[in-house]
Amino acid sequence: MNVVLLGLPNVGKSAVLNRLTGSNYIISNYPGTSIEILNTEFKIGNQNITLFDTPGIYSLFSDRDEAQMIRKFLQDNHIDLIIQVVDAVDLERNLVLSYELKDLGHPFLVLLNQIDRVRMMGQAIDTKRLSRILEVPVLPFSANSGEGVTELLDVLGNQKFFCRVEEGGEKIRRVYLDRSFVCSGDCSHCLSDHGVCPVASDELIRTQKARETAMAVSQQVHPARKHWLDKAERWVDQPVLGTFLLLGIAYLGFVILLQFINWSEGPLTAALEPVGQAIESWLLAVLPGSYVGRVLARAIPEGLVIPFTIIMPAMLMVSFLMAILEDTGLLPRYSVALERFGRLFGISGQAIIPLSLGFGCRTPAVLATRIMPNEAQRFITVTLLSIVIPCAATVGIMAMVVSAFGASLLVLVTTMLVTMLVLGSILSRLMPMEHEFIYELPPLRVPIGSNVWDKIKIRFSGFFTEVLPLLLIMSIIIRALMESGFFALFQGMESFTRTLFGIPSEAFIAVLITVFQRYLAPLVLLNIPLTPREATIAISMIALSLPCLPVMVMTIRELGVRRLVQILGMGFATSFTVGVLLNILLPV
Amino acid sequence: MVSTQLKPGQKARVLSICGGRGIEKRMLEMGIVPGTEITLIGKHPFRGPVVFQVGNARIAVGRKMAESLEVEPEEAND
Repeated sequence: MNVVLLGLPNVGKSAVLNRLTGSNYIISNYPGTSIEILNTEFKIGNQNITLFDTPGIYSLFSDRDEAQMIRKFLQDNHIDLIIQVVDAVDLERNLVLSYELKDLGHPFLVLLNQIDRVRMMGQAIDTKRLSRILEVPVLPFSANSGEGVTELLDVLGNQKFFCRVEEGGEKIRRVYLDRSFVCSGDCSHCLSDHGVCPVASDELIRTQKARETAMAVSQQVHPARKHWLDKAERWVDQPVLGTFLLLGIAYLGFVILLQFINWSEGPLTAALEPVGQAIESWLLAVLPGSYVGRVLARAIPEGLVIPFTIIMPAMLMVSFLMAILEDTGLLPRYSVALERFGRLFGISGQAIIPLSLGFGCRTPAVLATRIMPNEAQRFITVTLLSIVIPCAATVGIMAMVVSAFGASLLVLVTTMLVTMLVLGSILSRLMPMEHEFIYELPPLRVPIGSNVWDKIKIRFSGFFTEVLPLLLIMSIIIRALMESGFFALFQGMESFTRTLFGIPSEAFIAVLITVFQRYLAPLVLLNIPLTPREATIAISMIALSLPCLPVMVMTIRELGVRRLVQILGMGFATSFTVGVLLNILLPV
Repeated sequence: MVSTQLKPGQKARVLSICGGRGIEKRMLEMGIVPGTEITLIGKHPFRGPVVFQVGNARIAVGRKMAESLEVEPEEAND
């Protein structure tokens, strides 16, 4: 049996799915968390059920990508039941989609999610009456507390939702979502003169019906209990004060991040140093005097110690901070508060969400650019993400290089900000666009510990599957090249790189290595004696260069090869321009 | 009057949306249609977004888009 979860953005579809199937899909407190149709199989009794979780949509007839995707999905697949997950707190807006489903004639049931919050607000919803009006089953539900789960499983297991459909004899319903539909011929539309329904003109009627229905079934039974979060929301949503509060929180986040890296570095190094030394002496004993032994004995400890002491703490803390921002509902508020600021960079407020996700890992951030209103905006956001935004691993690497060589953090940060400003405004000039900003702010919530933990686990797993092995392999390759004297071949470039960028040829090679993985380059840098000035230029060129391989793959998937080539071209151009300009501007 | 002229906390009913089909459609999706009751929560300075309460939801609308909302303020009860 194929069952589809459908609903407005941020009503808790993924939470319902997790509740029913025990899966662990990422849930966040902002619209646009799920961007793909995901399916999970589960069993009730002997009934096999495939449950599809869909991205949130406001209307099935919307022009937005998600709605088009869902329309195609509903047309191409045999669907037995649609479960419309409704945010019971916001009934009126959710019922518009219910009326769309009703008009389309699909068997569906309404799940009144967050019913516990409705009660807290002192309201009551007459579910029986709502069920009579919509002519579908309506179940009160709470993904948080588990209320209604048994009832829903019962309905699914016994296929209770089919009764109503079969009442008037067997009905064969085919749904055409291209603004027209054909059904068995006994719906209100088909009974009128024209068989094809002009759905577009029905939009206002549905909105009207939704409003009337919401008013008819909901009632204020006792005064709302004031929750401290409502008060907090009032503070945070004040334009000026709220913006300062949000900036304060962001600053606090940065301080916590840097403190955590500083604090953890000592104990981690102390713990890992003996391990590194043991591996080194063991390798030297096993492979004495050989080239391979020399290379491995230095490369393996390096490739282990650097990721654990620098990248791991940064990735952990950034994942944690991002999870908190996502689950509290603060993240979308940044996009509103910083909308004006974003315009300076030629991006709309919505871009703040993917851009800040990029500080965690840029690969999912590229996916998250789907919340942008149009293609041009997406391209600009992905470009800035690829070239300017440092991911958690890069932040760790930058911190390491800065502290190892006494490079200037101020110059680095300023360079990155200026680059973002220049790049963004050039791009937005090249591809002018409408700035249409409209975004729903989720209610503030207290993050759920287990959910935060799941997110940290998912984001952090990349450390072991990607960062650690890659760094180890690259560390060996680079050490092998160094020991073989390969880099000496590039000394002919010395005068070229010195004049142009003010850095030695080896550092320039490090920059070129970033083609593969940005966080690999410092491995080379740490083995070259660099002055603070050289290190500042080199790390700036590295920080502002090309996206890593996973991001490239994701960009091809999302925007196509042509866009990726453009981004890569801009990445090289940016990196070299930054190098030349810093070489001219920085005092020797 | 235009929605951005409302004062924070002031309630109003939407009369019309005059920004073309695209804007109308996106407003409709968010539940803003002629007849909807909205409350202005705050206006971000420097022509930043405007935040409205629509039902139990908070919706941030870009200044230009908000200016396409023609509203009729409701008389304050007190």
